[in-house]
Amino acid sequence: MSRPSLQALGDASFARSEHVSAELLALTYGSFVRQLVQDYESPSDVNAQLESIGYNMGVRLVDDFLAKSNISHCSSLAKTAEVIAKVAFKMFLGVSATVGVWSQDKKTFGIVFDDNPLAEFAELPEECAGLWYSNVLCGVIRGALEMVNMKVECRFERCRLRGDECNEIRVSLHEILVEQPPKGED
Amino acid sequence: MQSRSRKSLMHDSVPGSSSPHGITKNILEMSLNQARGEVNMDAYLVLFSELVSYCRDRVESVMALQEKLAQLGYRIGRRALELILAREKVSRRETRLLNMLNFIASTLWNFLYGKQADCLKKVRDSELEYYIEEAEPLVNKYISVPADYGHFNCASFSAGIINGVLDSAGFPAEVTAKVLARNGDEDLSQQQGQPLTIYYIKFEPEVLEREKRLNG
Repeated sequence: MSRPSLQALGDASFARSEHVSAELLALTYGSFVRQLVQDYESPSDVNAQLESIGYNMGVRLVDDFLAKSNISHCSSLAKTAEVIAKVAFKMFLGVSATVGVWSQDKKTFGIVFDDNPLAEFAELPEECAGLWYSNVLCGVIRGALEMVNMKVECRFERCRLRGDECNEIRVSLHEILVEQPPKGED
Repeated sequence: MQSRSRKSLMHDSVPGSSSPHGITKNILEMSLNQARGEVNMDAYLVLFSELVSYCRDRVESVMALQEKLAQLGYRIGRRALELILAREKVSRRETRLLNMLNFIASTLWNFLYGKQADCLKKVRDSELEYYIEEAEPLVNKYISVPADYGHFNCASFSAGIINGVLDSAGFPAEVTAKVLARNGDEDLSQQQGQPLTIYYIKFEPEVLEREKRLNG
């Protein structure tokens, strides 16, 4: 097992990529979320919208990830979880995450992280108490995993903007999609 | 900003600083001075392209789309100015037109894109009009504009940022992003074919009046 190297892989993938300033990301994301809050009535609608935006991003980012991270096939859900936390988070956001508590049936895990570049400079006003500000990340994980045949559901469990001590996304595996050969003539 | 490094991602954690709500720090207790480091450009650009499609699905015309993008940028500009001034520890902001323009083309650009703007020019025969040229705006890197969108330019977003900065600094102006096809004329002949983005800035007359007053 090449366990210690995941972190190194994450660092290397991040170092290899081109960068933009984290402030630009935070301000752009903030402005985007603000627009959604303006356009949708309830925070739960905004959450759903953010998730679907993230899904589209994940579908595209997974290619980038597979091409640049040198990650080979993940043989188990446990490995997948480690790769998301240690390599993907590092490569895209420049922060490292850890895998949190697993559920009894070993199908749900947490991605726990302290620093969240998306949520810099942000504060949740009272009327947005139901908003999961960084919900786009849930969509990114779902979109990316779907492209590697894993159907998952993600939701925020803890968010520092809500006063929690860290951020946590719960990821539940629903099914592993079986690759179907395209229908047509034999 | 020179001190920006990948290692500086961690917040300075002051022991025992807890907000009334919980263990995390209140936003007002967090340092503004510390640069937040860097993130992956692809992640940013994919987010930006989602932002563009979100706006596109909610407007009727290409013009309206440009305006929408500019609106989203405008909010960033207002915040960026405050943040930069707090970081640079300057106790006053620029009040003179040329200084302000230089601030945009160097300090703001550096803050947003990690480099200076390609060039800043004055429109001939006008005291109110200036423009900033940029060969490759960051936000256009992965964007290809459909032919039927005409002169649509996603850099309208950056134009909005400039507008936000100028407005909050007390320099009301109209800022638009244009695409200039380079057809080999004048001094733009080096990189033929590559379109050039122009941020065209037209100040309100009151700015010039103040400028004259300050000149004494």
